[in-house]
Amino acid sequence: MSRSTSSLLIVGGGSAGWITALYLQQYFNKSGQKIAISLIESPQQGPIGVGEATVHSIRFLFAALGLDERELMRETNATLKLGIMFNNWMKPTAKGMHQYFHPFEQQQAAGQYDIASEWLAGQHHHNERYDQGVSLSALLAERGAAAKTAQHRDYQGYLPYAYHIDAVLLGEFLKRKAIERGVTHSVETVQDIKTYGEEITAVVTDKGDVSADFYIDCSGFKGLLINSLQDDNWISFKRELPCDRAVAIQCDYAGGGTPRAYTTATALNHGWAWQIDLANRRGNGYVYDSDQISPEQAEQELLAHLGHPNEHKKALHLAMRVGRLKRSWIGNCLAIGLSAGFIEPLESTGLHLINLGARLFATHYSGHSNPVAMRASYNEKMAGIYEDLKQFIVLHYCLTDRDDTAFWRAAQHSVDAQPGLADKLEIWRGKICEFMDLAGGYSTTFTDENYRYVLYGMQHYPKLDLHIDQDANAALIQSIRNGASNLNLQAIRHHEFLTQLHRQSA
Amino acid sequence: MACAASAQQRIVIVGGGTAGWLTANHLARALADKYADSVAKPYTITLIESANIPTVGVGEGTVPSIRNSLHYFGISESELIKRCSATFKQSIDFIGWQPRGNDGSLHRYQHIFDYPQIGSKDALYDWIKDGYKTANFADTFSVQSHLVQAGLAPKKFVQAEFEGVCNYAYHFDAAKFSELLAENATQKLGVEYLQLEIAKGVKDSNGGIGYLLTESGQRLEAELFIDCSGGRSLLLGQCLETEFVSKANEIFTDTAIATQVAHPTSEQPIACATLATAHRAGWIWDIGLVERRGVGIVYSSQYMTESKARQTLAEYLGPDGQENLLTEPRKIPMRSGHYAQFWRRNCVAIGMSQGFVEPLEATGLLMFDKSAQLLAQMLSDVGPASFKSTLESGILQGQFNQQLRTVWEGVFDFIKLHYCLSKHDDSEFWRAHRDTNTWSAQLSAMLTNWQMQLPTQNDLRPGVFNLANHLYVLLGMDVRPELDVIHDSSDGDLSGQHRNTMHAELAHLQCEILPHRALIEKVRKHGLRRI
Repeated sequence: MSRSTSSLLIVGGGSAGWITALYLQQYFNKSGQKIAISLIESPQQGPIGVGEATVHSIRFLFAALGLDERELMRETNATLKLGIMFNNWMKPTAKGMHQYFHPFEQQQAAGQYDIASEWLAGQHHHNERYDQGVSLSALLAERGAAAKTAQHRDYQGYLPYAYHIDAVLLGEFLKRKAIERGVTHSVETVQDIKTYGEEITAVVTDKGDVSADFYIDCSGFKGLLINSLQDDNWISFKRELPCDRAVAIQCDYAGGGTPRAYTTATALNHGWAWQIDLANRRGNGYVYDSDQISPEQAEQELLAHLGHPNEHKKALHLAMRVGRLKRSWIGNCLAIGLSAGFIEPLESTGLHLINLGARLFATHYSGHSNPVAMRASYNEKMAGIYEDLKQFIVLHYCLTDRDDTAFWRAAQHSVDAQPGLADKLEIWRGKICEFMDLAGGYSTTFTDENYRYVLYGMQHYPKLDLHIDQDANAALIQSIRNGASNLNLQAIRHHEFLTQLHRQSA
Repeated sequence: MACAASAQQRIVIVGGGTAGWLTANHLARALADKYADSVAKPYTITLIESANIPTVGVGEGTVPSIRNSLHYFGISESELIKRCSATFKQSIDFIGWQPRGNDGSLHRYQHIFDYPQIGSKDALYDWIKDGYKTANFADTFSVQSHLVQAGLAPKKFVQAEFEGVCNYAYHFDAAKFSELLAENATQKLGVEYLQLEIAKGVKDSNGGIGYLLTESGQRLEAELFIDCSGGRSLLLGQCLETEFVSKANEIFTDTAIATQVAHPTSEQPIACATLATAHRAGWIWDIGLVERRGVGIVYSSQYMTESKARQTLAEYLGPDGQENLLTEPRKIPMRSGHYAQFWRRNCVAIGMSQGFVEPLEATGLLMFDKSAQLLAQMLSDVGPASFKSTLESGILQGQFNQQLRTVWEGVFDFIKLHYCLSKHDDSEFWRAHRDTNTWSAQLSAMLTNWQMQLPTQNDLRPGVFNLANHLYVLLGMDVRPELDVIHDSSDGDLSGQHRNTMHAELAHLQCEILPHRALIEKVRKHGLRRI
């Protein structure tokens, strides 16, 4: 390959590779080519493709990629997502299974205090879940309402929403778009990496050497490029987050069901099970701690959870390397996606981390200033993002009162492995969780609003001594309910939205 | 591998009067029973009410079946009595529906709620053989009319809620009753409530309701729309342009003027029956609540001017009543008839949006309750997955329409019966009612039949008024079938024995039953025993 004055080579063609390729193509080359972007992928390495759940900011990425939302959704069998329903993360109570919902939305209420303080001070936790009291999404999700109608513009809806998406199809769709827009693509098998100090000089493939000014490693857990530049560049999160394997099984809607407009995360004996509904099928999987059970046991437990024990289903077993790179940008090489780090998908952050990595790289690579300082800045930010996300995931576990297995007994102590979190939890017994409590971190993804859904969903309530007007408080909380009732009548049913969407393509 | 779970079905009720809230309670209760074990309910029920459109709020009389509904909803009878100014109703007291007797006596009969205690038919034949003279039918065969005349309540204080010595219903303040139903539906049964101004319904391509358009331009969708919008029939009538079957040629009364009258003292006895007093072109209702009476004149504008009606009402109230008026007499137009269908596609009408007949037999709340109950039964048989396809198949609609159409026809015939049997000859209104051209074919056939024999249940359509109701009105209105065969009873004076039994029973009950007002006050203070 001839070397242009500015060239960039992406290795790996999963969703990480193609998101990065398309994003950078849009960012740098939309109005005339600045950087020649190429992507090579191996013929054998099929991407890891289970139904992928996302967070709501993914819409801004897709918009930035210049994608038509309806085309995207049709091509990837996507459904709309209003949030995540967490089941059984605490012991059941007299009222039944423990449950809470984490939506993307929070209402700003015109009360005396913020809506969380109003809800807590009004003692509403006796009657309802926090998410039901302060958001519309929780109520609408359970009713099967869609977050948007066919009349809404692309990436806009009544409420913030994300997608459930087929990651394999997403990769193929983005690949087509990227190639259409000028990204060079070839199928080659990487055999070796040539380096000089902390620089890559060439990627050796079965078709010869490929060189570029800059290399992006999207090769997945293998980290073919980045790991060739530095040893001892990995920080494991196994102590804080012990789940390190997953098993996935798909089912269809032949039983008459329709796709849910939310992700479900149900705590099982040694981890948790996802349910991610695509337009054409339902994805299920069990994320578990391999120190506790074998893959066979995990598969059996998942089948039992799905109500199909003793059935033989095609199961996909996955090993996950949980942790992050110390430096994800070294010399002229950057890792994005699984090669840079991995945190269990409890909060559907897989594509989000790719999004952040690609965006931050684009800005850090857009000028002519000191590359050393740029690398340091990027690495500091990405490390912070992974650390903050880890803290947020630990929060889901450490507040549990479950003690039925060694896994859950250990989960109660996972807070000890996350510096500073125990102190925060203590503070959050005396006051609401607010934005400034998380200041100084990189909590751009999950802020105080998200923390409150988990804290109060896990019944970690502060004891507030506020005097409120009971009638005004009741009216305020009722107004949220009324808003949900009203929106429920305006919103189309989720499955009907999908039917309409797919009918347009036919 | 297959998985189940479906999206929720949305049921929207438009209108929050007694019709809307009765429907909300019936549906919520029936569906809650069916899905008691489900974590997430496969439906939502939302009632939308305008902040600006007042409810008619007149329907103050009920029939006994309302007790079953209230108990079913989980509403306490004590609460009803405490909060809705409610009193007990045992009868409709028809005054002057026939001309005065030769001795100048006022004609009067009662349509009580207890079934007549006839026992063997011989007693009835004996009463007939007697020339109907010894005592009127209701007094002979039931103790209830005696209780009413003695001003006694239908139940003992020690009896539990909804239990009585005799069958009974209520009079109450309709607006307060609506509030009680609303509270029960929203707080106990999970019905959602929205105050929104609905501008209109918009049709879909299948001839159903596509969506509701609010004044502010919102579109509201649902899988099932229930039109409880009252006489304007916003969805069934206005939006779907369903044909209206007028009964104006049978029932001439088309206007009411209603008012409220304070009791002169707080000790004023309360009538335990609705008083229905005939006048030259209709009748006057008089319903006793705890603090006041509701009084109104029903008349035919074809045969009486408004000023004459107002004058007739004023004369009825007398100077004392006039002094104690709580509200200006308010004119209410009435349209007799019903729609040709009550349920079309995804739109069901319940309440005055479905049909209306003047309030002579308190059919308003009765029909609301009956229709809502029928709808709730039908819907609770349909699973959420097949909800839409069932609606599209039209099976439920067909059954619902057929059943209710029969009920409505029976109701109109029964109301007409009260008028057409009258021998009043002093006004065109009453003479016109005797014109057989204004009778339905079925009514004509029944009346011809009943000249020769006593009515049987087989003569009647399935509906809300049964044989006992017809007997009270027919025999109360002095219809005297010329029976071919009068059985000779060997047991002597059976009807006399009956009468004596009733008197003995009354004497016994008088020691145990409080006067109507006294019982109401005791219930308001202490409440009744819950079941």
